[in-house]
Amino acid sequence: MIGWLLTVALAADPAALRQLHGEGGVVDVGTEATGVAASVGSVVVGVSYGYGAYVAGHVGQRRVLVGEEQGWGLDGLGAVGLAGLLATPGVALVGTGELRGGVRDERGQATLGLVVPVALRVDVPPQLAVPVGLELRLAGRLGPVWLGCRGQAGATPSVGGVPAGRAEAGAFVQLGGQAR
Amino acid sequence: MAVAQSGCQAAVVDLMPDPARTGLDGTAGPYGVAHQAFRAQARVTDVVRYEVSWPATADGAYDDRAGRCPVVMFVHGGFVPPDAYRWLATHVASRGYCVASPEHALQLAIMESDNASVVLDDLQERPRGPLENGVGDDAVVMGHSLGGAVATFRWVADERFDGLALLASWPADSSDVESMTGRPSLSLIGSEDKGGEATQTAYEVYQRFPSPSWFGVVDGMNHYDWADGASDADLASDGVPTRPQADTRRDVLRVLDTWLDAWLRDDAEAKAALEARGFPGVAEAP
Repeated sequence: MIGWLLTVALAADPAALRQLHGEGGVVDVGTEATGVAASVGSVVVGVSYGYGAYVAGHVGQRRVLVGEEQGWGLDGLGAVGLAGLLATPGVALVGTGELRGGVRDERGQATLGLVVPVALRVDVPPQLAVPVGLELRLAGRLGPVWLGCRGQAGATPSVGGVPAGRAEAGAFVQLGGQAR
Repeated sequence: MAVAQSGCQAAVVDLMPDPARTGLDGTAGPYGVAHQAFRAQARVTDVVRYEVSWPATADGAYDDRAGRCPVVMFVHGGFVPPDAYRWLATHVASRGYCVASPEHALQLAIMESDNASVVLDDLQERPRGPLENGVGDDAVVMGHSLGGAVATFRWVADERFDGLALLASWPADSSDVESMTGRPSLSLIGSEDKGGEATQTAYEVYQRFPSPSWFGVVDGMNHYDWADGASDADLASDGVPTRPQADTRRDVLRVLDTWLDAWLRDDAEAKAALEARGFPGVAEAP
């Protein structure tokens, strides 16, 4: 199963950045990419490496849309950035939107999110991919550390191409602040 | 296996050259064979990993005597790793062809059904390392099992793939194969594939293919004889082969080599041999 997951290629999803809320830093290791992110003032910045595919930097912000900090609620996240493409060298503008809803309190979290990590290759020839994924995310608090895991599945439509399936699993650790 | 450095990656030599080998009657050709893994960018930030086997010298370099090699794009079966077909890629490359095998998400070609076209782009527009001057313009797409259905999608959608070879496979109902008049197709399947049930289905679906098409049933072969390393669970779901695998594969290679020579090298003798259908161990119908 792990071997299958390792063969999956995904878009430049800033997974680490998406896991962090509030103060602190997070490390996310997924089957498709590894990333780190940290809060800087009111925004979150993150860097991710998609194994052999890209290196990307993002800056973004998460906000509570419905509900409160604790209990049931719905969050929204927006992030933009730049990716360097590695297999066929090039540059892409990347942007990610996420809607995440579920339950969270001081001990644990269980959420379901809709993730759209868009990528536009801006060198010649230009290309546009608009992946869409559903992500299930579970996390629990262990002292000052939040430990979590996530699984995502969806599709990657691209202009001029055939939609491709996508799947990813990952785990993350957050230090400081409050993961949500 | 020898390992030769070429560019930034290592090429692995699978077969040493031997001018005494003729490449006739289902036997290996005179070229050595090496393979190497490459990556192609896809869907902007995705990457497709693929392997290429090519006609090689003893040190793994491209053998210039092969000229610019036609491309055989191979799509693996469901849950079967591409290297399970290395026996086939090595054989075909020893006769002067380049065989490329893309990987797919979850080892299901249907997950990324245009990877074959992505890889052909990469090979022909950005050849590198030992393949820098070796890749030709002509190409066919070939697939085993689920890979054959996906290969058919590419054959219909991407006109750079002139021919289609189905190994123990048949196209999806939605593939408009009826419109492919004048584009060659080949369908080979074992008589014991899934106990013979799949053989009958492949034969019935084959009737949809316009000329020039060629269908053959390999006596005694089952579904997983096409791939190395089948699991006990795979074999339990398959028919029981009635002849040694080495013999059935030799029968397959006689036909496959002839078909490739006919359509990728425009070999008149090979076309005549296909027309005559004198291939031992391969019948016209179930």
